[in-house]
Amino acid sequence: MHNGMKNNLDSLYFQEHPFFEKCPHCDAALMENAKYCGQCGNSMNHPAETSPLNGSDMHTQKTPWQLISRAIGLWVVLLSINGVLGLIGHAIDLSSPYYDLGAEILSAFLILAVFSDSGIVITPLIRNWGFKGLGSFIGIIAGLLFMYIFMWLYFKLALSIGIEQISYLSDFKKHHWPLWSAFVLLCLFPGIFEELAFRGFIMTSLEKVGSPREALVIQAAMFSILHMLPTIFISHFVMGMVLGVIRQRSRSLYPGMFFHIAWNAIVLLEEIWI
Amino acid sequence: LARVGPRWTAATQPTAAKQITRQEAAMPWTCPDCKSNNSDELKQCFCGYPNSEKNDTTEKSLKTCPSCHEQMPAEDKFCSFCGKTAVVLTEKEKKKIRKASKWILAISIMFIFFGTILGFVQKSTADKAIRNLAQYEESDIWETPINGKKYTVGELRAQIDREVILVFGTNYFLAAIMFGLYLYSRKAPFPAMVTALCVYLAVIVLNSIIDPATIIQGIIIKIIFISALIAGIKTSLVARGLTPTQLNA
Repeated sequence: MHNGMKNNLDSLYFQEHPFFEKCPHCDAALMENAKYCGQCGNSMNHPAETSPLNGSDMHTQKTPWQLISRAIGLWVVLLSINGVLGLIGHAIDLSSPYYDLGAEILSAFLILAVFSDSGIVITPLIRNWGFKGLGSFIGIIAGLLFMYIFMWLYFKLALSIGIEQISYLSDFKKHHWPLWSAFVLLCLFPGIFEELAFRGFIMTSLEKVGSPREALVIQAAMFSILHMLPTIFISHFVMGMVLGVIRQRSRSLYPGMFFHIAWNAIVLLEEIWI
Repeated sequence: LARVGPRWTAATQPTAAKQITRQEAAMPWTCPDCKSNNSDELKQCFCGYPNSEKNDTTEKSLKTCPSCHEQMPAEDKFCSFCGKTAVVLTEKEKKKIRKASKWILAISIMFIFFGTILGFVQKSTADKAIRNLAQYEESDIWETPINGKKYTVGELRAQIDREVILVFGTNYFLAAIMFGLYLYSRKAPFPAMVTALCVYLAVIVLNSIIDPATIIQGIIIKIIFISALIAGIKTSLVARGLTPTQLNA
């Protein structure tokens, strides 16, 4: 093995605990050998190179209830898009890719509208590139592998009690839409905008009220519930947790977006080939 | 991915494979008393630290973490060793939270109650449908297409049986989730209350997609449950030491 590569892998697994005297998130002074920040509760095991969510940003001029209601508000807006489109579909029985197109464009538009009006700053997450050399790629591939094995087991179990997997491509095939449109509408759009909404907006505003762990759990739960199928609550909760951990460790949205798009593409490719 | 290439090569160079040592990570030393930045070497500050009077009484300003029993500064909100919140609730606050989380239990019981009723209603209609099908053979084809597809009678029977199980299963599953959230809310009220509110809202929307008439059915109960959960979120914030409608420092 190449020497440099070996060093790099060593540094991945045997890295000494980095020593911080100030929390990279909120600038509070830390206790000696602290594993977590005493003021904001963030973990010091995976400290950031830079500190995107720094002190000035922690204390926004928003009350806790304003922050929570904005997070839940965005979620309710996304839920009501599903609800309204579902009601329309109920009335005129439409099962066409135009449904996906409408839902994606509407939710993208509303997410951006709520963002611009919320006063919750996520620019540090967008400015930070997030990928750090080989480590992040090994992490993402390991994460995808873990999710693949987990989902395979989950849906095998679900099939054994009689819950069938949904076909994502059937509507696209039925209406003769090209394959790339399915990839744009089912991978690219959700990948970008769900990350912006859940790991960006909702998680950031909840982190300012609760501890980072609570924010992680809540956004994962919201993410899974929004998919509106009780059978996939658990699987998507795990997915939301994985994406949330990626966002917490990288302090950026891009690795999560990459992971999300890659995962959705894997699901579609599996449906095409198998 | 254009920016990744050069980083990758740089990272694989022997010299570039850095470890984050203390010196590299060293930011200016921060005085624990007045939080101003000073030189790292001296560990002294113009405010008098470490010789100030404040530090003679360090033992008084410590408290014990309720989760892992480590010592920690009294003003910290989270434990530096286990990362859990260090707020110790009074009996009154505990009681308030227990009261709020009982609403989640109430929703769980409601799901079981209505799930059982709906399940048996579904079962009686299913039995009727099976009786109507009794005169046909398994392999006969039912002439009226359902969702644009023709089924054999055997397939229809299986589907009818499955729908009964689906009604029972979905309601009991949601009740189980709510019961789990109730147990979780006694440990961590804030995330449990928010999640319970989201699950309840999603169930309302899901029901109204399946049957639009359910939007108005029991609307008073729905409003009561939603406002109780919102009040529960606010209670859990108060217990956290936050005032929901005031800016925190």
